[in-house]
Amino acid sequence: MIKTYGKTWLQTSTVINFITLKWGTKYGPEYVNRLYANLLNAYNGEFEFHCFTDDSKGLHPAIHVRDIALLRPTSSKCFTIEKVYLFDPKVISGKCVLLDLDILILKDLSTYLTFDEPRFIKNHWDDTAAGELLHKFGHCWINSSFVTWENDQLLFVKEFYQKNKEVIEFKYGDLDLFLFHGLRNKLNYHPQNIVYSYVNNDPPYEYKPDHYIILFNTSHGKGTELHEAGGWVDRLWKKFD
Amino acid sequence: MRQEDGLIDYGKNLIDAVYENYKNNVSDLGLKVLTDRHKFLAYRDYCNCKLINDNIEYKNVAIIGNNLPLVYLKNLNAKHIKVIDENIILKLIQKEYNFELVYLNPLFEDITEHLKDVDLVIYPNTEALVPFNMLKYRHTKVNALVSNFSFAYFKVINNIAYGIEDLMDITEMSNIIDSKIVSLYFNDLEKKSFSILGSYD
Repeated sequence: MIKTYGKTWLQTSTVINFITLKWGTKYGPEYVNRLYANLLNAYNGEFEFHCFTDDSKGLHPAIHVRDIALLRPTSSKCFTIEKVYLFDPKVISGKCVLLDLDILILKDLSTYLTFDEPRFIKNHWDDTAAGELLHKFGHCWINSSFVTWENDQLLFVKEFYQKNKEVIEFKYGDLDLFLFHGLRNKLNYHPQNIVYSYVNNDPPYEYKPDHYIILFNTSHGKGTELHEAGGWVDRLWKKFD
Repeated sequence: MRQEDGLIDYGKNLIDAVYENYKNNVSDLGLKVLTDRHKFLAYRDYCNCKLINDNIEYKNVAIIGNNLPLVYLKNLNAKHIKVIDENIILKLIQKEYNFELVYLNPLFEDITEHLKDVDLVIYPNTEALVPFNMLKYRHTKVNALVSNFSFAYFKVINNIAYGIEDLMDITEMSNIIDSKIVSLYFNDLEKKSFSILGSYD
C-alpha cells in the first residue's frame, strides 16, 4: 500500500513497516483501525501496516493481517514476549516500527524517524536514577510500546531471551521488566520529549502536540484505556472513523 | 546538572545515610534523606551490616547485585569489597568509595571466576528467589548471606504470593539450609554453603 498525503507527497526511499499486535478480547478491531487511520494522518511517507492477531474480524481491508502464532513458537508466561520474535528478520524485515494499540500519534512521525539505531521508550517521566538503584525491586523505566529497528538490529534481544529462557520465564512476568533487568545497558532509547504518558505526567491528562506519541495504559501499574479517557483524547481517537 | 551528577548524588546520599544510620545504631528508620521508598533498603542493609559485624570475620566480601549501600562495609571491618553488578551508579562512585567493581550482570552472566578469591558472598534477595540450578554462578562452596527482608517473604511471582517456607523450596535453599528462619538468624553450616538473614519483625 502506498499512501498519498494530500498535495505534499514525499517520495521517501524507504517504506516503513508499522506493526501492531492484537489478541484476545481486551481491545476490539476499532483500536487497530483507528491506529491505522491515525498513521494515515500522522505519517508523511510510504508505509505498510501489519497486524499480528488471532482474530482479523472487523479489521480494515488495507491492513496486512498476519497470524500471531508466528510469534508464539513456544508457550510463555512473559507478557508480550511475542515482540522479541518480531526482531527476527525472518518474520519481518526492513525498517520496522512497533506500536502498541493503546497509543495516539500526535505529530508527523516522518520528521522523527530519521535515525539509524534501534530505539525503545525510556520512561523519562519516572525517577530513572531510582530505577538504577531499585532495578531489582520491580522498578522499570523501559517501555516497549514504541520500538524502532531495521532488519537484524534487535535480533540479539531474541537470542538473549532464547539463551536465558529458563530463568526469564521463571522470574519475569512481562517483557519490559526482563529487558530492564537484562539488557537496559545494551539498548538505545527515544530522547526526551518524543513520548509522554497520559497519566504519568505533571499535570496529567494534557494534550501536548509537541510530542510525537502519547501512551495510555502503560502496563506499569498506572494507566487509562483510550476508550475511557474522554475529552480531547476521544475526539482525536475517533476523528478518522 | 548532568544526568551523571544526579546519579552520583543519588547513590552517595543513600550510601551515606545508611552508613550514618548504622553508626548511630538507628534501626527505626529515622532517616531524613531517604524517601519512604528506600527505607526498606536502608533497614535491610542496616541489618545486614549488623549481622556481618556481629557474627563473622570475613574480610573479602563480594556483593552481588544492587546491595549498593553495602559498599560502606569497607568503612567497617571488611578488608576488600567486590561488587558485581551492571549498575551505572556503581561505576560513577567506585573510586570515591574504594571498592572493586565487576561490571557484569550476575543473573545472566557467569561470574564464577570472580568469586574464587572471596570469603563471603552477599546475595540480594531477588537472585535468591531464582532456583540455584538456573544460575550460571552456582558456587556452593563459598559462604553466602542471602540478603532478605520480611517484604520479600511474600514476594509475588507470577501473581502468587509465597510464604517463606515455599520460597525456601522454590529456590532450593531448603536443600541447603535445614533450619527455620528466625530473627537475625545466621548459620554458617560449617562453611558448607548458604546462610540467611531472616525475618526481623
